[in-house]
Amino acid sequence: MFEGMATAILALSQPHVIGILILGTIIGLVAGVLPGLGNVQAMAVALPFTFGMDRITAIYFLSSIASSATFGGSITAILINIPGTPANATTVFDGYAMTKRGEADRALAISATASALGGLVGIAVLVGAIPIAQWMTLQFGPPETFMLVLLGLVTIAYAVQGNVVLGLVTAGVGMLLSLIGNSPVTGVYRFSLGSKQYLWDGIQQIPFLVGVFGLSEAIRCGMQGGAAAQVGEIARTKLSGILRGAVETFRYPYTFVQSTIVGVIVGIAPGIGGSVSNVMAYALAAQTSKDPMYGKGSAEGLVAAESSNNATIGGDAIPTLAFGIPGSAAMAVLMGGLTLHGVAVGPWLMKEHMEIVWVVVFGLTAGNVLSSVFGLLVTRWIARLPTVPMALILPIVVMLVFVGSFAVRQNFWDIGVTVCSGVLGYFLIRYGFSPLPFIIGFLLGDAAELAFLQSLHISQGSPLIFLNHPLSLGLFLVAVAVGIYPLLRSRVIKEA
Amino acid sequence: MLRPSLNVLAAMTLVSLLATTGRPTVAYGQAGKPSALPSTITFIFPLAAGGGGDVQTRLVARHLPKYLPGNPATVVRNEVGAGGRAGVQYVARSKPDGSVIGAAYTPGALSNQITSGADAGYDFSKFVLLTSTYHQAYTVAAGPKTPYNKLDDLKKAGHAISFCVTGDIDMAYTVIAAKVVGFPFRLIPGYKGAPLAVAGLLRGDCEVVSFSLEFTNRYLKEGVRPIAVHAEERDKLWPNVPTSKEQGYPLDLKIDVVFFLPQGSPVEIANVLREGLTKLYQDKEFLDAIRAAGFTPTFADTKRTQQMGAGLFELFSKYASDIREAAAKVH
Repeated sequence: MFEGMATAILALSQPHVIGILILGTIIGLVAGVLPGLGNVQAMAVALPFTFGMDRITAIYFLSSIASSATFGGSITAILINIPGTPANATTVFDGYAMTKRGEADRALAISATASALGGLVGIAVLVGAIPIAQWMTLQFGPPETFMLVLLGLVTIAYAVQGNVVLGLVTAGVGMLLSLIGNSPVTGVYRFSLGSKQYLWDGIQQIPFLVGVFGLSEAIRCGMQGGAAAQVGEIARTKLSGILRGAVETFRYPYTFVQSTIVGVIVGIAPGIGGSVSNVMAYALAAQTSKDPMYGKGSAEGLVAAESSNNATIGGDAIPTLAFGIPGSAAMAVLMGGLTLHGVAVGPWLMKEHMEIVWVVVFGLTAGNVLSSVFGLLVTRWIARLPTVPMALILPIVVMLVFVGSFAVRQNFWDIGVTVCSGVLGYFLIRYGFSPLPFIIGFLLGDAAELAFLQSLHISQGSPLIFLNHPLSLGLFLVAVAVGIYPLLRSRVIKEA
Repeated sequence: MLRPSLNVLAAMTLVSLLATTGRPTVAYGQAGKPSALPSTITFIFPLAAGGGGDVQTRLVARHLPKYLPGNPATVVRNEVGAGGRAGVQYVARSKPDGSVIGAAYTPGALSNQITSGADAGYDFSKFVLLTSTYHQAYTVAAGPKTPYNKLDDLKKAGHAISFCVTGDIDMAYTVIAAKVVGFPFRLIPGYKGAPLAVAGLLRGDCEVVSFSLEFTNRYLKEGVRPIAVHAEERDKLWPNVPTSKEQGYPLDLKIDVVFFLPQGSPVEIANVLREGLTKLYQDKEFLDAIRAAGFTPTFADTKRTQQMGAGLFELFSKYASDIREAAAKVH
């Protein structure tokens, strides 16, 4: 184990490896910032460029890309209300609200710090889990995964603001939209209107999210005019202010720990990733937060959103390295990269190639930390973006929305989805609905369906499977507790 | 190892690529002098990046240009969706000028077509087949807590044997094996990839899985127990595991990755590509790269590929109603 670590550290001492790490981080950041791109696309494009590198340098390169894009995605989420990746979906709620208050620098600093710390915790768990990683991986079957997703779904109760019934209807509509297309279990086409070109494969996350958030905000701003933030406030941006923002992350240790735990567990569970942990952690923190500004520009909300999605990356690596089960699409590409470089990934990797495991660990760490450092370094300048008049910035935002939507699959129908979801998002917000339950329903719906149906196939239709497995039962009890807590709390408050 | 300066150059190109396209596409080789082939050839692989077929396709795309006139640039694009149908459809709709080469698992493409009918959106027999690779026998393997050691044990179990399945290929081959051997079965679908299905097997979600030999071989130390290889002869990786034929059931079920062109592609272009692929599979550097990735290099020329495709089509046609029935039960 320690020989492997020494090999990985030795490689790190070479200047070209350090250069490659910096390069990979920048590429990941750029991919994250551009809506529609993420670590998966960046890594896939980067794969052939690793052919000329030695094995360890190549893995450092790919790992650093894998862990840097998520923070990159928070930059556009905060500055222009477009989540750069699906894992930044809830970052927009507090991040962009802070930007509108003229606190983009503070929001970016909090995001950078929470991302780095969350990522480091995730990676620390990965390292700590090495001796039991295979055991951990096998604990998450379909019943456990369903209960984990159910835990996320019950948080809709907290996400609903104002009219609870209408909020739940919104969440239900989000879930229904996630079920469109080819069933992941049965292969049956649902609600696809007979389409063989688009809806048969469901509604894609990125075109949908950039529409709901980015385009809807562009429509609103276009009608309103002015600038997203007040020029005077941003112009006061100072290094000390950014540092204060970074330090602010430490004021929410409970939210941070809770969110990183959610992030890591979601990462270990196969088939669900950063987008799920992001909404789960955000909605759970909404329940525990005492900040009246939560969802309207709260630092705590940003900490929850950005620590969880980065913690997921370390969790994703556990089943990947322990068993050859890619914990996420990015980890699947990393596995492909390892295979192309002569390292077949499987249960033997942690026994026979510990140096590779350590290279992945250090690569993920470097990408995570460097991306946040770069983010902090450029915050003073990019935080001024929202002060640009809408007349100048809106065409760029709208272009980014459509390019991001189209870039994922180069499918014009994706642009149609963006337009529809943008209009829908605009009216949701205009008529006082929070988009959060809608987004939770959309992002968790298909994961819940897959795990639920698989579980019933295993048990031949008996729902007791969810209670027979200890971990599944434990998660169910937690979900019940989380679900009834707000009811109990409101009753206690009424009686008092 | 590349010198740092070359790495920087590569990275600059990569950043430019990222800025211009978001697809997981990659470029190999350089565009050269004009030839019958287009200056850029795109390989369409219908499944996600990272798996065995994807890695094989990427290695071919990387090394093939030196055997093609004009040394064209090559690109790999993962056109994912609808269980692999979207990618094959994409090739079917592409211009037949050699600019797009499909790469797909033959049994996957065929079983999709047979189970979906017109909904598949393509007719595999209309494609211009080039060559194929990654040929492997399919296997049957049991979980560590099951008592099964041979195919007959599945018959004698007294209940429907549960299989964790990922998609069309393992489902179709499970149905065919069950029909030939004569054991009842039930499918547990929805596993996103063979490693997840094997994890399900080890966890006890199901009793048996059916995957390719090289893949299954990776999990023997974890407790996966092979009980049959669907091949004519024993494999050197598993000399002690009897074939289905030896156990009295003449099953010969294989997978392969086939390279193909859209319908109507000119013969001249097809022949140039066939010749290039044939030479590629004699290239020591390329074959070493395949071995280094953990695969056994295999190659079948056009005639053999067509024969295998026809054989598979016949097989799937014979069991089409059984496969559809099994799929309907899952529904």
